[in-house]
Amino acid sequence: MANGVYEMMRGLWQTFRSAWTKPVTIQYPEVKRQVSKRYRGRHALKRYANGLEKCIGCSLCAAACPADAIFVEASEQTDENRYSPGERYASTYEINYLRCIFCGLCEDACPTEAIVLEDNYELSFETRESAIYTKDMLLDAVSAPNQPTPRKVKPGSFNRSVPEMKDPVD
Amino acid sequence: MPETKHGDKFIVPIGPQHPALKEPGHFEFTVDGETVTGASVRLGFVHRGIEKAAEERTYIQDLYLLERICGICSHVHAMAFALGVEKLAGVTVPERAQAIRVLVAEMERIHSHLLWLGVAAHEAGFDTLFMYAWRDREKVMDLLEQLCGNRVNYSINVLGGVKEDVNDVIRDGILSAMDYLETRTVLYLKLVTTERTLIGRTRGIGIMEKQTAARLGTVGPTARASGLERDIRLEAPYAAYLQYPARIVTEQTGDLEARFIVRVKELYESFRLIRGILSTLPGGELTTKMPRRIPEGETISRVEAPRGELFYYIKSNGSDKPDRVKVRTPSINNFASVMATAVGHKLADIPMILSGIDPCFSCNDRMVSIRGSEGQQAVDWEELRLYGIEYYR
Amino acid sequence: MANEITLTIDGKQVTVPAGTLIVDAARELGIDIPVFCYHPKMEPVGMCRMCLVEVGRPMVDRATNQPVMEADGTPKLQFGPKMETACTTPVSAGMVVIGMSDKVKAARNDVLEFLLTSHPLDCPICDKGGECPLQNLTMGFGKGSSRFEFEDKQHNQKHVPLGELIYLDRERCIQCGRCVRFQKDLADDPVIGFYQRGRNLVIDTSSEPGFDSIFSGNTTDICPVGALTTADFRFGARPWELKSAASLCNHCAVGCNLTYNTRREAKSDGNVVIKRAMPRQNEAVNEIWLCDKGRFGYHFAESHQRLEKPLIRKDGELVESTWDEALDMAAKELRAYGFRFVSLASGRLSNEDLYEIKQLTENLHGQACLYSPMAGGDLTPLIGYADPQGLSRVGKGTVIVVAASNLHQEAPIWWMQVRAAVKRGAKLIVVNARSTRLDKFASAVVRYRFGREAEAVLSLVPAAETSGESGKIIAAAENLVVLYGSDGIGLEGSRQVAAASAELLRASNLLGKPGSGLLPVWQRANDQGAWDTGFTPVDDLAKVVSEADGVLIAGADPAGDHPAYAAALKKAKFIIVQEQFLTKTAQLADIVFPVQSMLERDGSYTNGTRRVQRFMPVVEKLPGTRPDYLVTAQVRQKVVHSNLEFISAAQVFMVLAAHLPDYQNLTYATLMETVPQHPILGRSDVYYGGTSFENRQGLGVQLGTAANRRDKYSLPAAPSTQNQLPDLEHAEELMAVPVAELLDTGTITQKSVLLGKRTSTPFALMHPKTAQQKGLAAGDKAKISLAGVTYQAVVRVDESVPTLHVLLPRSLGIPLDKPVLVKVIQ
Repeated sequence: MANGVYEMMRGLWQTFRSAWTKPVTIQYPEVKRQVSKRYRGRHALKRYANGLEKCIGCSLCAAACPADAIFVEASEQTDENRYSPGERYASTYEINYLRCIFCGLCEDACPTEAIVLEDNYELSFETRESAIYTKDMLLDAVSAPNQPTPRKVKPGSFNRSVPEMKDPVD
Repeated sequence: MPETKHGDKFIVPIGPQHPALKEPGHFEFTVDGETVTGASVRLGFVHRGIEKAAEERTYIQDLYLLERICGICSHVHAMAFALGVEKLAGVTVPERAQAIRVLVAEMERIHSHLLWLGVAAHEAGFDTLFMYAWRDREKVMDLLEQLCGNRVNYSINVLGGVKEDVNDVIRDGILSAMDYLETRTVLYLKLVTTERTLIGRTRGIGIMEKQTAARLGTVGPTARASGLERDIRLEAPYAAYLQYPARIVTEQTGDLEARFIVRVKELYESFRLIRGILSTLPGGELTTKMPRRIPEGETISRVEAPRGELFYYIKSNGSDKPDRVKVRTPSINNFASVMATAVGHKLADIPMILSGIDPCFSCNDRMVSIRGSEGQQAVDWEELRLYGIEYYR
Repeated sequence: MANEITLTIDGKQVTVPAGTLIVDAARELGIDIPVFCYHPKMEPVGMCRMCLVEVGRPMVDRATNQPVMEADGTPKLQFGPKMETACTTPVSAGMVVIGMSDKVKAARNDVLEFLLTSHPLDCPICDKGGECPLQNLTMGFGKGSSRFEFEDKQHNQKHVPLGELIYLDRERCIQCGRCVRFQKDLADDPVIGFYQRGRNLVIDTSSEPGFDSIFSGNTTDICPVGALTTADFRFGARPWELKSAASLCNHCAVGCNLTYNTRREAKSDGNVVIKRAMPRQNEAVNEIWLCDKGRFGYHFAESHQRLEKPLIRKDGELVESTWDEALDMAAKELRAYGFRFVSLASGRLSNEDLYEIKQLTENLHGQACLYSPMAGGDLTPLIGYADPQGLSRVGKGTVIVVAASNLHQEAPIWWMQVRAAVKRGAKLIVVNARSTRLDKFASAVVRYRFGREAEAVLSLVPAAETSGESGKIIAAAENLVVLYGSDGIGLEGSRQVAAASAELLRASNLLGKPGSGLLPVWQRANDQGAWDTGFTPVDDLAKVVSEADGVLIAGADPAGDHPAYAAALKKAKFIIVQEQFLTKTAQLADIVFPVQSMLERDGSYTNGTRRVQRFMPVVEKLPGTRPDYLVTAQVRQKVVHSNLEFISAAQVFMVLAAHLPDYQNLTYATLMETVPQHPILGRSDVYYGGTSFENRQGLGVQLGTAANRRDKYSLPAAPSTQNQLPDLEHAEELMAVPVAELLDTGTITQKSVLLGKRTSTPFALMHPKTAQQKGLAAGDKAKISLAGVTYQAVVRVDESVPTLHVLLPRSLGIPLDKPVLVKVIQ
C-alpha cells in the first residue's frame, strides 16, 4: 500500500515537473512551424531582379515530373509584349497539387531556376478544381520598381533565354 | 457483438475496418472462453496495384511510386529499387552517395523503431511512453527534413546516386541529436526491462522458439528476438554497409519483451553507424550518369528494412520501363508468426502480439493469390477482375 | 555476284551492292555512323566531317599486282594516314572500316566542338530539342562543357521569317546545306542559299515572297538542328509530349502517309488538337516527303463551324433535330421517292463510306454519281500503273508521259518523283497545251491547242506518222507510264485523254509489265476508290440531279462550286446531305446529317496507283457526329430493313472486300503490314533521315491490274482525233479552261489560317497577245463574265498559252468545270 502511494506520488511529481518545461508542441495555426531550408513545399515561379519571369516555358519540369502533375504550354513573345527573356514564354502553367508528390525533380530540371519548391505547406482543397494552381497563383508578385509582365522592352535587350548558371548552394 | 457460433466455439472477427486497427486487415480468432484456439488472417484490403502500375511507368517514375509503398520505411523501398536498377544498368554509384543512402536508412530505422515503440506502448496501455517516444521521433524527422527536404517521403534517392548532400550544419545537427537520443534510449531500455506495468504485458507473452521462427520464415527484429541471426546488412552487405558494418542484436527468449529489447538496442547500433558515417564520409560526386533505357536482364535486390528483409525482383526488357517489378515486404513474412503465437493466449494479448511484429498492412497488399479447390493458383488480370465482381456481389 | 561487294565494318561482315557508301553499308549492319550533312535521299557532299572513320584497304603489291598477305594468311591492310568521310566513300572489296575507335571518337568530339562554337545552346526553348541530331550526337560524342565564352560566339539573328511558313534561327544553323540542296536538287525551287562567307555565312531566301516553294516544310524535317522551324509548330509543344497517330493526307491522289502529332491543349479548351503533321516513310508512296498543303492543311479539324446536330427542314427552315427523328424522316421520304434516287459522292469519302452509299443506291435502284470532272477510273483496274514500288524507283529504261496535267500543282509529290526519275535516267515526254514546270526535264514536249488533247496523246503512238522524236523514245521504252490530269479539260475531254492514253499504252505493247500503266492524277484522295466501289461521273450532273426525286450528297458541295448545280438542286424534290459544315449544298437540303472528318475516325483510301491504305483516328470525335458509313447504314437499315451489322469501319471493309473482286483478301490487318524499307530511316536516329516517322502502321496494299494478271480485258476504242472545242478565230469571246491550283480554297483547305496566307488569288492566265487584244496587261484586274455573272481575276501572261484562251483556276471562286466561252473585259 505504502509502495503504491509512493509510486503514485512519483508519477505525479513527474507530471508536476513537466508542467514547468517548455512544451514541444506549437499552437498551430496561430504559430507556424519553421521549416528547414531544403523543405519542399508549394512551388513558386520566380522572377529576375528586373521583374521578368524566369520561366521560359520549356516544359522540362513537366517532362521530369514523375507524377505528371505539371502542364506547360508555351507561346512566342515579342519585345512589345515581353514576359521572359528569349522568344518563348509559358502561356499556361499549371500544377495539380493532387498529383504533385513534392519530389523536387522539377526544380532540378529547370534550366533557369524558375521553379522553386518553397516553404508553404498549407495545401488543402475542397474541390478537385481548386487543387490546380495556375500561373498567376504560382508566380511571385512583381517587386516595386518593376512593371508587371507582359511589358514593353527595348528591342533586342533580352535575347538570351537561358542565363549563365552556377551550381546551387543548398 | 459480432460473434458467430461455430460448433462449440466462438469466432471473433476483427476488421477489416476496426477502431483498433490503423490499417485494414481482417482477422478471425476462434476462442474458447477468453483463450484463443485458432487464428486466421485475410489481407488485401489496401491493394493498390502498385506492381502493375510500375510496369506502366518509367524507371524514374517507378522510383517515386515504389517509395510510396510504405509511409514509414519509404527510403528503403526507393533504395532497394535504385540498387537493383543500378545493378541491371551496370553503373557504379559513387561512394559518397552510398554512404548517404546508409545514413538516411539508419535515420529512418531510428524513426521507425521509435514509432513502433510508441505504438506498442500505446497498445499496452502505457501512453506516457508513447508520448515520449513520438516526441523524440520528431527529432529524427526534423533532421530528415533538413537533410532531404521532406519528413516522410524523403525523395533523396535518384537512380545513380542521391540528390542531397550532407553539409557541416546538418552533420553537426545530426551528431548532437544522436547524443540526445542516446540518453533517451538509455531510459527506454530501462523502461522496457524494468517497468512493471509494461513487463506484465510483455514478459512471457507470444513466445516464439528459434525453430518456429526459422520455420515460419520470420525476418528482421522479430526473428532476431527469437535468437535467429538474420540481417541482410551482414549477410549480403549492400550500399555502404561493407564500409560501415552493422553489428547484429539478438535476444534468446523470443517473447514480446525480447522484441522490445532488440528494437531498442538496435537504436544504439544505428547511432553508432550514423556517427561512423558522418565522421568518415567519403568525398566525391553524388550521382553518376544513368542510362534511360536499362539493358535487358533481371535482378534481385535485398535490403534490411526496419521490419526485416525487403526483397525486390526487377526484370528489364531493354526499354525505359520495367517488364516486372516484384516486391516482397518483411511484414508478409512475419504475419504467419502472429497466427502461430496467438494460439493459447488471451484475446486481450492479441493486439500486443500483433504489434510485436511491427506490421505494415499496405506494404503487403500488392499481390493477390487465390486459394481455390485445386489449391494455390495463379490468376491473370481478367480472372482477377471477374473474381472481384463475384466476390463483392 | 559481280556487283556485290563484301566488306568488314567494326568486325562484322556485310555484302552490299557496288557503289554503296560506307554509311549506308554500316546501317545495314545496324551500326550508326553519325552524319549531319549527308542524307540518303540526296547526293553526298562531305561537308560536316562528322562521319570520319578509319578505312583500311587490302594492300596490293605493285610489282605483282597481287594482294600482300600477313604471316597468318589474311590480307595485309593499309590504313590511310587520315580518316575518311564515310558518307562520300563508296565501299570496295575487302575494305575494313573502323567506325568506333578512340581516334574516331576524338575526331567526332572535335567536329562537334567546332559546330558548337557559335551554337546558342538554347535547347530548352528550341523546337527541335528532344529530337535533335545535334543534341543527340553531342550527348553521345561531344564534350561536357564549352571552351567558348558566350560573348566570343558569333551572334546571329534568331528570328528570321524566311517565308510565311518557315522561320530560320541563324545562330542554331550548322551550315550543313541540307535545306539548300533539297530545294535545289529535289524540289527544283532554289529559292534559299548560302550568303556571305566564313563565320558570317548565313542562309537566306532569294525569292519574293520569301521561301516560295510548295515543298518548304520538308526542309524543317531534314534540318539536323533547330534552325528551320515551321510557323505552325513554332513553340507549340515539346516533341516528347506529343502523341502520334498514323493517317493519310486527303488532299490529292498521291495518298501521302503521314503521322499527326497531337496534344491536349489549354488554348483549345482542353481538347486534343493536332500540333503538326509529319511524313511517315512509305517508299512506294511519298518516301519521306510532304508538300506544304499536306503538312499545313489539317486545320479544318479545329473549325468551330462544324455541325453537331442533325438538321431537318420544317416549314421551309432548317432546324436542329435528333438523330432518331432525322433518320426516321430520311427513311420515310426515301421510301416514298425511292424510284428515282441519285447519290452524289466525292473522293473525299473513304472506301467504307462509298461502299455503304453505293449499297443504299442499289437498294433503291438509283444512280451512283461521282462528283469529279475526270474519267478513266474504269481503265485503271485493267491497265493501271501498279508497280508495288510506286514511282520512287523509276529510272533508266522507263518513259514517263505526262499528259494534260500541271503535275506540280495537281500532285506535288508525284511531280518530285517524276523529276527524280528523270535524274535517274528515265525519259520524260510532256504533252500539254502550255508550258509546265516539267518541261525543262522533258526529252520531248508536245504542244497542242486546248481541245486537241486526245490527238496529241495519240500522236505519240510509235506507228503514227506524226510521232517523230517522241515516238522514237516511246518505241525504245522498256516501260511506259502515262500520267494524265485535268489541265484545261472537263469530263468529256478527260474521257478522250484517258482513252487516248490507254491506246498509247496498248500500242506500245508494254502492258502487263508491272512498271507500265496508266496513272490518272485524280483531284481528290479517294476518287479511285469511288470508281472501284461503283461510282461514275455523269456528263450532265445538273440535269440528273434536277430530275431526281431523292438525292443523297456526301462529301461534296456542288451548290457552292457552281450556280448551275445550285439551281438544279433547288428542283430536286428531296435532298439528304452528309456534311461536316453547313455548306451551300447543305443549306438547300431537307436533312443534313453531321458527319465526322477523317481525322476523327478510321477508314481506308485507294490512291491513284490503286494502293489501298488505312488511316486511323487522330483526334477525339466531335460529340453528336457519326462517320459517313454509319449514317448511310442507319438510313439503309430503316429504308430496306437491312441488318445493321456494320458498326465499325473494319467490318464494312470486310464486307467490301468480300464483294469487290479486286479487294479480295484485304482486311485492315493486311493494310497494316509492313516490310523493312530502304534506305533505313526512322525515328530513333533522327540525324540520318530527319524527323520523318518510321512506318509501323502499315504500307498499304497495292492492287493488281488485269493486264499484270494476264486476264482478258477489253479497252475502249481509240478516241477520235477531232477537236473537241469550237474554233475561236473570229469570236468575241475567249475559251476559258479550268486548271488546277494547289493552294486553293476547297472546303478543307480554306480553314487553315496559315495556308490562307499562301493561298493563290484568282488569276486569268493568257497569252500576252490575247491580253493585249483585250486591253489587259499582267497584274491588271480582269472582269470575266460567265453565265451572266462577273468574276474578278488578276491577269497573268504566259507565251506558251494558246492564244484566245484564258486559263482560270478551279476552286478559287470562279465556277468552271469544263471549257466554256467567256467574255473577258477590262
